Amino acid sequence: MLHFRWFDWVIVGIVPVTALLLGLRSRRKPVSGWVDYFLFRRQMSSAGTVSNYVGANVVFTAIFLVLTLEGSKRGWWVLAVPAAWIVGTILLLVLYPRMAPYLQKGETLHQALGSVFDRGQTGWSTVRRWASLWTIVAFVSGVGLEFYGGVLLLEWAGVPQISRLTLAMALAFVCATFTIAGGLRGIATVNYFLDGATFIGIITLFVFIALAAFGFRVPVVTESAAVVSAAPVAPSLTDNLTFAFGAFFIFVPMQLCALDTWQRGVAWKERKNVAGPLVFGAALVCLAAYIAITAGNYVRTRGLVSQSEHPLLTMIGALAIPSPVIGLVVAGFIATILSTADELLNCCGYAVLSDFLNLPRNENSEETSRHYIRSGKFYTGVFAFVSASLAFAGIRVQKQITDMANVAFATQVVFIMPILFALLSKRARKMHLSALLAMLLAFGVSVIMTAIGWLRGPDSQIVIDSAPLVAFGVGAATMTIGWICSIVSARKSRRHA
Amino acid sequence: MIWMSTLLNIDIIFFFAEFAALFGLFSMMIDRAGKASRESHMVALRALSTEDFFDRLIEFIDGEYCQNGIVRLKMEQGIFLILVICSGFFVISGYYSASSFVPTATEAATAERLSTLSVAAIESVALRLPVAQYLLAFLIQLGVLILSVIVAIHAGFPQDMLRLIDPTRFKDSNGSNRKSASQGK
Repeated sequence: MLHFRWFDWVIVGIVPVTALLLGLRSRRKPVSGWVDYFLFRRQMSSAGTVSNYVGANVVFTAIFLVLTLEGSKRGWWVLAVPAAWIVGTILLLVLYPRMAPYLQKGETLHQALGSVFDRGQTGWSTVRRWASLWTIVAFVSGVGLEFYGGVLLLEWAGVPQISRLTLAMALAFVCATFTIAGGLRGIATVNYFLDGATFIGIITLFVFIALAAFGFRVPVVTESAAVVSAAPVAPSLTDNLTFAFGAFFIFVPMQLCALDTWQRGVAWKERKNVAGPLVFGAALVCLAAYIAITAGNYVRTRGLVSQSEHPLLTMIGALAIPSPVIGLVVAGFIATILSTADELLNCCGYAVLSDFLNLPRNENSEETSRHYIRSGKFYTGVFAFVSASLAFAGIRVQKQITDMANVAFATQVVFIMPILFALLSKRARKMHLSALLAMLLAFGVSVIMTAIGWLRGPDSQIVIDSAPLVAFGVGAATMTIGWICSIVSARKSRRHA
Repeated sequence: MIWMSTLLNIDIIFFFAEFAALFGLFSMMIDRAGKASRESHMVALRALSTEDFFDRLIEFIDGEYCQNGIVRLKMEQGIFLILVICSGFFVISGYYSASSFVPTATEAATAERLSTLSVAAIESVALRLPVAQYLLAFLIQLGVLILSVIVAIHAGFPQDMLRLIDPTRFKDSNGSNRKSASQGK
C-alpha cells in the first residue's frame, strides 16, 4: 500500500476534474455533422494528432502493468516490445501513401476493408462488419483492462473502503462523460492535458529509479517483498523467445490494424509530412515502455520480486517516494488510463453507427445529424460501462494481467493479412471469401489457444504467448491460398476467353 | 444473514441501474441543453436552485407537467441531482463508518460467512457499513430509483431510448422517416 496524504489525493483528483471540465468546455463549439463529431475530418493539427497518438498508445495496463511484470521476470527480453513498436511505425510509414486515398475519402479501417473486399456483399457476409465487431471487442476489452489497472492503482493508493465495482464505475462515468461531450475534437483537447500529466508522472518516477540505481537513494525493503521465500523460477530461453515473437506479431501490425490510427489519419490536416510527427509519437511511446521495463528490471536485480505483489507496487514502495511527489506519479497513471480509454470508446461508438447501422455519411439535415450524434454518445456510454463490468470481472477472475492483455490485443492480429493484401495487391478485390475466412480462422485459433492455455493452468504459458503467432500464421496461410486460387482462376478464365 | 445477502445482491442491481440512469439522463440533459438557446447552457446551474426544482416537482405532482422540452430537461436535472446526492451519501457514509468501524469477533465471522455467499456481500464488507445505516441508504436508493423511473417514463424516456438504439427510426421535424431514407442508400 502506498502512503497517501490528503494533498496527494488532491493532485490525483485534479486529473479527472480537469479532464471533465475541458471536455465539457469543448462541446460548446458546434460540429458540422455526425461524421465530423467522430472523425473531425481534416481539421486536426499535427500536435493534436501526436497527442491523440500518444494518449491512445501509452496504455497503462499494457505498458506499466504488463511490461513491469514481464521485465521483473524476463529482464531485457521485454525490450522486444518497444523494438516491435518501432518496426510497426516504420511499416505504417511505408504503407501510409497507400492508405492515403482511403483517408482522403474519409474512410477508416473498416470502410477501407469493405470497399476492397465487399463488392455486392451485405450484412454479416461482409468483411467490414466482422472487422468492426473485432475492433469493438478488442477496444472494449482494452478499455476494460485500463479500468482494471485503474482500480488496482487506486486500491494501492489506499481506497479499500470504496468497492472495486464503484471505482470501476466511477472511472467509466468520468471517462464517458468527457468523451461524449466533444467527440474527437474534445478528446484531442483533453489529451493535451492528460499526456502532459502522464509524462510528468512517469518521468518523475524514472528520476527516482535513476537516483536509486546510482546510489543516491537507498531502497526500502517492503514487508511483502521481505516475506518472499524464493524468487519465481526464471523463464526458459524458449519461453523468452516465444514471448518475443508473440510480442512481435502483436505490436508490429498493431498501429496499422487499429481503427484509431485510421481515425487520426482521417482527422489529420497534414498528410504529406507524416514521418516526423509519427516518429516523435512512437519515440514517446517507446520512452514510456523503456521506463516500465527499467522499473521491472530494477525490482528483478535488487531481488525484490514478490509472488503476492505486483512489481510496480513493490518498486514504488521500495523507492519510498515522498508526498506530494507520489501523488504526482499516481495522477500521471490515472491520466494514462483516461487518455487511452477516451479515444478507444469514441472509436467503438463510431464503429456501431458507421458499420452496423450503416448511417448515411452525408446527412444534410442538421436535426437528424444531431440525433445520430446522440445515438453515438449513447453507445459510447454503454461501452464504457461494459468495460467497467469487464474490469470488475477481470479482478474477480484473478488471471495474470499479461494473459488478459494478450486476449484483448491478439484480436487485432486478424486484420493484418487482409489489410496488407488490400493495400498491396490488385487481386484483393476478388478475395472476399479468403479475407473473411482468414479473419474468422485467425480469431478462432487465437481464442481457442488462449482458452486451452487458461484451462491447462500456469504450466502452459507458452500456449497463450504463442496464440498471436499461430493466429497470424493461419491468417497468412488462408490469404496466400486464396491469392493463388485467384491467380489460377484468372488464368483459366483468360484461356476460356 | 441470508436476507442481508439477498438484499445486498438486489442493491448491486440498483447500483447498476442508478449509474445507467445517471448516464442516460446526463447525456439527454447535455443534448437538450444544446438544442435550446445559447443561454440554456446555463440551465444546469439554474436547476441547482432548489426553488426551481421544487416548482417543477409540484407541477409534476399536480398533473400540470407539460411536454415542453425545457421543462422536461429541468425535471431530469432535478432527478440527476437527487441521484448524485444519494449515491454520494452512500459512498460518503461508507467512508465515515469505515474510519470508526472496528469489527467485533461476531461481525468478523459474519463478514467471513457473507463473503462466501455473494459478490455483493463482499462489496458490503469492503464498505463496512453498519446494518442500520446500510438499510437507510438502501431505502433511499429504492425511493430514488422508483421516482426516477416514473419521471423517465413521463418524460418519454422509453421512446428516446429506442431512438438512441436505432437512430434510423427517428423522424425529423419535416415528418419524413429517416429509416426509409437511409435504407434507400
